[in-house]
This record gives sequence, structure tokens and C-alpha cells, in this order.
Amino acid sequence: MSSAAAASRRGRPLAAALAADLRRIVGHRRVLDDPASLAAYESDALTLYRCRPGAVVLPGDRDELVACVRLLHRAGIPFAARGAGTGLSGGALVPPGGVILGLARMDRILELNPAERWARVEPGVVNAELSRAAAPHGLRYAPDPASQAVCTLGGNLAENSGGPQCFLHGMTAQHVLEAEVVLADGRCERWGGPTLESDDLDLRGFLVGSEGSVAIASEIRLRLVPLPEAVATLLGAFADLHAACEAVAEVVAAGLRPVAMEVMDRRAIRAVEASVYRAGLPTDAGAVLIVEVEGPAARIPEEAAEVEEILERHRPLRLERAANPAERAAIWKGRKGAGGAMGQLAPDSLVMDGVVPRSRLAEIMDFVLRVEEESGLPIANLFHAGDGNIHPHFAYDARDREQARRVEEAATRILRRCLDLGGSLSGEHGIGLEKEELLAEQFDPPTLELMRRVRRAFDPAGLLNPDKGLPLPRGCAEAFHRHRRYRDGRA
Amino acid sequence: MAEPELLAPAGSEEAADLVRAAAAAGRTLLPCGRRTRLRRHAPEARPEAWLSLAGLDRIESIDTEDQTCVVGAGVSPEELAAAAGERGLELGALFPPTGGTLGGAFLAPEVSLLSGFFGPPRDQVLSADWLLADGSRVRTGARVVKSVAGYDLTRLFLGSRGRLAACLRLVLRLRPRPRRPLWCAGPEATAAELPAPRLLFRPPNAAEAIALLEGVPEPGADGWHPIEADVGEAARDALLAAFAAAPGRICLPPARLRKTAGLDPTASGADLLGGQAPLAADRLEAWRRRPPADAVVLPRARSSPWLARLQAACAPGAPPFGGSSR
Repeated sequence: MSSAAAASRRGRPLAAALAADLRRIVGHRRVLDDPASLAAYESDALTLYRCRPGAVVLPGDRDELVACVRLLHRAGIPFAARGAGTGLSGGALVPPGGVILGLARMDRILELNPAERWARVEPGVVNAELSRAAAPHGLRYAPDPASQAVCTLGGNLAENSGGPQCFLHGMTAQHVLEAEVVLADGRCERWGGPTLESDDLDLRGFLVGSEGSVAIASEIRLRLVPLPEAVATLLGAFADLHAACEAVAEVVAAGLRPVAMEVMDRRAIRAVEASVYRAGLPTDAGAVLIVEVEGPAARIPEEAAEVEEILERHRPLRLERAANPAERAAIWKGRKGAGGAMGQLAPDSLVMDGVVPRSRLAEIMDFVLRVEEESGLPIANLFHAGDGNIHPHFAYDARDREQARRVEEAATRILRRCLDLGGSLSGEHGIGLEKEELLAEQFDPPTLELMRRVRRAFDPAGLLNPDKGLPLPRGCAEAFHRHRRYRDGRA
Repeated sequence: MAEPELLAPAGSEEAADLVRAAAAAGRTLLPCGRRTRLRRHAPEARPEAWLSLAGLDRIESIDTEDQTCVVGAGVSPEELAAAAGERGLELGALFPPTGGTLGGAFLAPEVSLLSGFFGPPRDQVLSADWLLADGSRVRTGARVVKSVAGYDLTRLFLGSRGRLAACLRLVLRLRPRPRRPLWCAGPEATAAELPAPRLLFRPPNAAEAIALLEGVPEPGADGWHPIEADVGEAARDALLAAFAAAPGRICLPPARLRKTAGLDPTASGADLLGGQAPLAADRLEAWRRRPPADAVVLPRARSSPWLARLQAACAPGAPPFGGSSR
């Protein structure tokens, strides 16, 4: 094990004077620097990457956040914002000695304007909370990542999060109207405006998905959309993944506009049915396809029938329509709980994220099956089929070094295949630490160098969530204690 | 002052050569298309030469399965509409007919009557090829409908009026055309009852608002009635022409259109779904520096203070496109 890796595992404590200054800003109990507390912050939901921060600071409002950022900037300490830690690309980690700014306490919905259909929120508001608050006004917040019951809107902004409904309603970028941001040196600005047509330079749009490395959003104005008048949820069971994917391609080609098209394969179905998320999914099917259409009551029965007609052509084993809201809720509970259900299969999991052109979906899934066969690793699949966004899910035991190595190798093969098919390395999880090396296979050197220069324009000192989202300088990956479970021999 | 020279390369390589030569000579260029939007979006621009990319006018491909297309920046919106329409598709942005190019429309930032339904024009661009002010070329985004890999430089460049990068080629998302379109007209007061309109607008000086619905047998809102498609299309074109003729526009939450003092959407016409109205010169001048609360008035009086920093980041050492920012 290298000395850098060893240092990152132990962590590097913050200087006592700096910790005391931070405590003066946020209060004594809001600065965590004991090993037990820090252990909870050494990774996000991608446990492959771990690095213990020097401290975790929990500001309660914008002023505290700004004061902390100014202090850290003056001290030259790297820092990163973190929401609920549900990120899946190792995005909310700091190098040894760095500081995590945990924004979960900034969780107030500041204003909800039903007439103009927007809400102003702090970054720590939980995604599903906003929809709950908007529902009495006949509105909702559309982006719905699987972790929406816990993930925060600030984290969603940083990663440009998606979710099943993004097929119709678009990603987080299509819903962020305006953000009050704290720059790396503590200056505050407002980017964007009251409508999405807001500026000549779209700094708001550039911020969304910048993985917390351009600025920290301290307040966000989000667009809300009306709750649909009618909804129809269809569940088709198919003999195999290929048939489900072909059906998806035909629905898209027919010009239909469902709100979501989600596929789960046999392994995912069985994991769900063996868990608390049990939804009555057919365990004998090779794949299920969930298609939901929403809109005016006058249109939905016919639109649902058109979708059913297409699915019928692909010879489903079963085709059902949710008869009532409870049945619909059960289907979605199964889909959104699938990630959690698969977490029960093994001590560790890797949820991959890649995108292909929609017409190549069946082809990439055939390739995933080939990788599964050749690698001997069980892969479960649940994905946003309508967007061509796949999520192969590896359940494995990282204590088995060889198995962990093979998981990463298999995941890389699949991502490279996505690129070969004209796709992208990430549809909604971001690059983080997970894919920084592979990014050089998606973008050419001049484009990557341009990204680095633009980043420096916003953060010349390179302190704000450094070394994420772009290929790392040599040695940095080691500093983040990469794959330590199998590299340092602690199996 | 002499009229700037017009450089009109026929292809990307030639464009890159011209930009490299200009950078070496310290000469200021401003990328443009057919220069139909400059009066509005860059009236102060005094480059030493225009770099017109109107010659990059080839529709390279239209993929009906993936509903995407690859076009040169010099293709006109009308050419793309015709080619995509033959395949049952359309661009999710409906621009005023200025005779200009797609590159110009996306860089402007131009109004689109489909913003309220599909989002603003920049949401329709999946990937693009760019020329930086030092002559180097970059490709941003990905050719898929969903990608968060790397920084979203596409969004940063679109709407920058060509001052950060010149657009060579666009990969655009296309949408299925409405399968069962229903044009209708009725009172603005009950328009909120309409089922998911694709378009909702008031043409200039018209008695009723107009909507385009999809897949429903009737409007289903009080006072609304079906109209012939050609009547609806003529009303739509009248509003687009009003946007094209106006020197500016105001953008605000749709619910505020009627409440904004000094704005008369009935006379000027308005995009009721997107919350946009054309602005005559007197109102534009009055509002450019101090817009009404929660409104954006375009073109803005001043550029973002980030422009100069980003110009330096995009092409260090080269004279920035458009000259030093104002």
C-alpha cells in the first residue's frame, strides 16, 4: 500500500485552530472530527472509493455556509458539498485533510408559488419532500431519482439527476430556474432567472451537473409541473430482455410520449420479490417493462391502448394495466426499491450508469448478457429504457479482491461498448471518481483541456470538490484511496 | 469606419484555417450565420471581420429511430423542418422566420414558440462541434438524449452570441410531429383548462387566443372551439413575424404576463405557454436596464461579467470572438 493510500484511510485531521474557527461559525456540535463520525462520510453510495475527510461541517443556513467557505478558501483547504450521500460516482469525497460541507440541515422550503409553478428551496430539501409539499396545489417536482425519498435537491442539481419520469419531463437541468451560488472563494451570485429563458450566458445550465466543482448552490428555484389529470400504468412481462427492449424502441418510433419506460430483468425481479419491496412482479419472466402514460383524461385510455397494441406485437407473457392507484403504487415501489433489494444480495454493490442511442438498446443489453456469461459475475439490470440509459447492477463482495477486480473490469467493458455504440459514460450518475479515467475515451484532449480551463475560471485555486469529473492528474486517484479493500490487502 | 470583411468558409477545415490566421494576426472575428439577428443580438459588435458559417449548410443525417439529426450550423430552420417533416419529425424549437441559420438561432438566444412545451432551444441540442478563437476544435455533449459526462459546455456556448465559440455542426433532438393535431381558439381566461397544449399564444391584435392540442377530440375548455388548421398556422406565423420584427422580448413566468404593467399582450401578441412577448423599441429601452420584477428583458443591456473570464479560458492568448466584451 502506498503512503498516500495509507494516509487517506487514516484520514488527516484538520488543524486545531481551523476546527475551532469553524466551530465558532456553526456551533461546537456541528463540526465532526472524531473517527466514528467521519467514517460515515468516507464514501458516498459507491463504496468502491473511500477517503476519510479531515472534518465534516454542517452549516445551518446560507450565511454559515458562506463563512465556512471563506475560511476554508483562505486556509487553502479543499472542500466539497454533500447532500444525503446517495451519489453513485464517488462525487462527494475530499482528498485527505479536506472538509465535507454537509448541507442536509439546510432543508427549508423557502417559498412555494403555485400560480407561477415554482418553489424556492434550500439545497438540503429532500427530493420527495418537495413533491409532497406541492401536491395540495396540484403540482409536483418531476425529476424522480430512485433515491428520491432521501436524496437532496442540492445533490440532484450537482449531478443533474434523472429518474424514470425524465423520459417525458426532462432531467434536473430542465427544472432548475435559478440558483443562488457560493463560489469557491465565498462570493455569492445568482445565476438564472424566473424562466428557463433567462440569460445570454447560461451559467445556471452550466452549473447543473457540474458535480459541485463550479459553485455550491445555497438556494434553488425549481420549476413545478401539474399533477396529471389521468395516469395509466402498464406492466408487460417478456420472455427475455431483448423482446422488452425491442418493444421500447417501437413505442419511441411510433411517436408515443409515455412519461416513463422502465425495464427490469429476471435477477432484478427476483431480488424485489424476495424483499420488502415485493410488488407481485412475475418471477418467471425474463424481463418486465413498465410503461406509464399521463395526461388529459380524454386522451389517456386511447394512448394506453396504443401502447398495449405495440407491446402485444412483441409477444408478452403477460400484459396488465394497474387497475387502481394502489396497484400502480405497488409497481413503482417494486421498481424504485429494486436497488435496495439488490443491496441484500451481497455486501457491496456497483450500480453502473451508461447511455446508448435508443435504437441500440437491445444490442447493448445483449452485450451485457455476454459480459455476464464471460465474467461469471451475476449482473442484474434495471434501467430507463426510453432514454437508452442502462444500469447494470453488480452485487459482489469487495473483501474478495479478485471478484472486485473482475467487477470493475466487466463494468469498464460495458461502458466502452456504450461509447462504441455512440453513447455516453453517464446518463445521470455523473463521472465523479468512478469514470474519470474513461472520460478521455469520450472526449478528445482539446475538449478535456478546455473543460479544465473553464473549471479554473470559476475556481482558480482548485479547492472546490477537486479532482472529480475530469481525468485526474497522476497520483490523485491513489490519494483517494482507490479500491483500497482489495489493493491494501485488508480482505 | 470601414465595413468589416466577410469571411465565408465552405467547410470546417477552411473555417479553422481562417480563425488560426486571424488569431496569429491579432485580428478580431465575430462568428455569424447570415447576419439576420445581429441588429438585435449584437448591435454593438464591431469586429474586424465577420466569420460566416452559413456555408456549412448540409443536413448530414436524420435518424428516425433515435429521433436525432446532424446538421451543419449553416442549415436554415426551414430546411430542417422540411426534411424532418417528411419523416414525421420536427425540431422542438419554433423560431421566427428571419432567413437566418440554425447556428445563428441557437447562438442568439432566439425565441421559440415551443419553449413552453419542450423547453428552451438549448434543451434541443445534444452535442455540437465548435471552433474556439485560437482555431482549435472541440466537440461537446453526446449524441444521446441523456448525458451528464463532463461539463455541459454546450449550454455555456449556446446563447453566448458566438463570443465564446463558433458553432460548426449540431446534433439536435427531434420530436414526433403531433399525431392528431387540433387547432382551437378561445378566451385566454379559460386557457388553463385546456388539456396539455403544445402551443398556446395570442397573435398580435387578435380577439382570441389560439392553441394547438394533440390527441383529444375537443378543446374541453369553456368558450374554446376548433378552428381550421390553416387559420391556426396563419395566427402562429403572425406571432412569429411579430417576434422577428421586434427589437427585443420579455420573458417572465406565464402567470405574470397580464400583471406586468406596461405590457399589453393583446396588442403585441404573446406566447402564453412560454411566458414571452415581443417588445417594441420604446419599451425595450425603458426596461433593458431596469426590467419589471422577475422578468428578463432580452437582449440584455450588459453582458455577464463572466464573459471576459470565460473568453480567456476558451482561447488563452487569442483575440476573443467579438473583441473585448462589453
